[in-house]
Amino acid sequence: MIWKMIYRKWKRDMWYPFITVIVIALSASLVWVTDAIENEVADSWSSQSSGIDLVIGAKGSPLQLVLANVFHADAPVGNISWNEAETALAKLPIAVKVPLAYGDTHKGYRILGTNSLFFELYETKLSQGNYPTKPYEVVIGSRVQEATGLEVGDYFLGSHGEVQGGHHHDHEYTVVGVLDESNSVADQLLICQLSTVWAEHHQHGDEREITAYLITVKQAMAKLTLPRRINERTNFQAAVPAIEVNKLLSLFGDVLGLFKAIGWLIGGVAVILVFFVLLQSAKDRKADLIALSMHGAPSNLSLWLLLVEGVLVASFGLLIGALVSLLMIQVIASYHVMLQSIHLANWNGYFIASILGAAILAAIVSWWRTKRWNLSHELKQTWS
Amino acid sequence: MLQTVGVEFRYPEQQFQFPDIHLQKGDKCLIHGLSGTGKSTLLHLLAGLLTPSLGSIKLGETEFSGLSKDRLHQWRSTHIGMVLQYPVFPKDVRCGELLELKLKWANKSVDIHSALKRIDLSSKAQHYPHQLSGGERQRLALLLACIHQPDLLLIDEASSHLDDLRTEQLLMTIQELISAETMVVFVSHDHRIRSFFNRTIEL
Repeated sequence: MIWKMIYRKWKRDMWYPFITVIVIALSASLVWVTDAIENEVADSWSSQSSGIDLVIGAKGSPLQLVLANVFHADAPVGNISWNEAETALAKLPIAVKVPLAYGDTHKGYRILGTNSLFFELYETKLSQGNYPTKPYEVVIGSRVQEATGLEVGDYFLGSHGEVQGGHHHDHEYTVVGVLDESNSVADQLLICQLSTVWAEHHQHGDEREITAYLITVKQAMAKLTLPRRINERTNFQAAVPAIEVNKLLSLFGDVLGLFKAIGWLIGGVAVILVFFVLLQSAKDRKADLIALSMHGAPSNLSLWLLLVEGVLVASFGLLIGALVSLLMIQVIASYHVMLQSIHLANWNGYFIASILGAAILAAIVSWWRTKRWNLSHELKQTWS
Repeated sequence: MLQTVGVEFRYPEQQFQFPDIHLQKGDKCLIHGLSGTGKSTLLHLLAGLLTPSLGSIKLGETEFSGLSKDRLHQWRSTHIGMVLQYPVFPKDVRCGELLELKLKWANKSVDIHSALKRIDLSSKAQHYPHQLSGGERQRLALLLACIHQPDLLLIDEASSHLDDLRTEQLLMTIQELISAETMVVFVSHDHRIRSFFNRTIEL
C-alpha cells in the first residue's frame, strides 16, 4: 500500500520529487565527472609519458613539443632534418631513440611514421594482422578502427595536414593490422614506416625530415644534463615530459579544483535541498497522515511512507546522475584526445552516503514531528 | 460501559467543566448545546484525542489516563469509531482500500463488498473518496467508523447541514451499521434528532 500511495502522490503532484531528482542528478554527475577527470589527469597523463625521458624536436615551445609528440594532442612545433639529427645524437648517451614523422591524417586521426621501437615503447599487441613491413602499409589503433570502420585489407587515402579537409594524396595506404586497445596514444594513431611518410611527401636523401624523437637515456644523470646540452649546442630542442606534464597539471589542477569545488558546493546544496524538499513533501502529506491516523493507522506507517519516499527520490536522483555521468564520460573520451581513457573509477561513497543520509534524516525528522501532533488541534486547523 | 467523572478541560483562554456521563451498552446519547459550549471538545476527550485537565474517562475496564499516547491510539482504532463534522480521508487511497486498511489496523475481518452494499456504495470501491458526492462521503465516513464494530461510536454535528429527509436517512444508516451493544454519543445543536436517542445531556 505504501508503494501505491507514493506512486499516486507523485502522479498527482510531480513537482517536488522532480526538482529533487534533477538537483541530485546534476550534483552527482558533476562530482563524479570531476572526480574521473582528476583521476585521469593524475594517473593517466603521467603513465602516458612513462618510459620517455626526453622529446627532441624543433625549437619552440617545450610544452607544445611534448603535447604534440607524447600525447598527439597539438600541432607539431616543426620538423627537423633526419640526417642532421642522427649525426647530432649519435654520440649522446641515448638508450632508445624512437623517431616520429607525421603531417597527414585520415578522418581526423593522425598517420604516424615511425619504426618498430615505437611498438616496443608502448608495449602494443596486435588484435588482427601484422605490423607494417613495406611502404604504405599501416597498422591502426583500436579507437581508429571503431571510428572509421577500417578492416585489415582495406585501402584509404591520407589527407594532407593536421585537420580534416586537407587535399588528398594520390597513393593509397593499406591496412595490414589492428592493435589491441592499450589505453595509450597508439589507440588513436594510424602507424606506418618512416619511409612511407618520406615517400608521401617526396623527401629523399638530405631532404628527409622527422618531427621528433622520443628518447630514453642510458643513465639517470643524463636526464638532467642532456636537455641542457642539446638545447645549448644543437639546433634542436629537448623537452622533459615529466616537467611539462607537471606544468600542465598545475595549470589544469586549478581549473579542476574549481570544478570540484563547484561540484561539492552543488552537492552540499543538493543535500540541504533534499532535506528541506522532503520536509516540505512531508508537510504536503500532513492532511493525509492525519486522516490515516484518524482511521487508526499505526504511527510506523508514517515513518515507512516518509522513509521510502525519501530514499526513492534520492536513489532515482543518484541513478540518473550515474547515467548522465557515464554519458558525459563517453562524450569527453571521444572528443578529447588527452582524456581518451577516462573512466568512472570512483563513485564517491561519501557523496552517495550524504544524499541518502539527508533523505533518511528528513524522513525521521518529519516522522518525529508527526508524533508530536495534537490530532484534535490539527483536525481543527486543517479542516475547519 | 462509558463513564466520565469530573472531567474538565482548559484551553489557554477558556475552561470547560463537563457533566458526568454514564452510558451502558446500547445507549444512544445526544449531547446538545449551543455553539461554544464545548461539545466538540467533549467528543475529542471521549475519543482520547485530548487529555482532560481534570477528571477521568473510562471505557469498559480501560482508564484513558493509564495509557500512553501510542497505546491509546492503538486502543482507539479497535474500540472507538468517530465521524467528524467534515469527514477526513487520505487523498491517495481508494474507498475499498481504506476499508481494508481500517479492518487490518483494527484486527477485524469483514466482507468489504457487502459492507459497501449496505450503504449503497458497492460500485464505488475503486473510487477515491474525493470523487464521491457529499452524501456518499458521509456514508463512507459512517461505514469506516462502524465497520470494525466499535464499543463506542462518536459523531460530531453530522446532521447540522442536512435537510429533514437526509437527517432521517443518516440516523437510519447509523442504526443499520451499529451493533445492538454499541454506545453512540452524538454531539449536535440540532433539536430534530432528539427522538433517536434514549439519553440527552445538555451543555
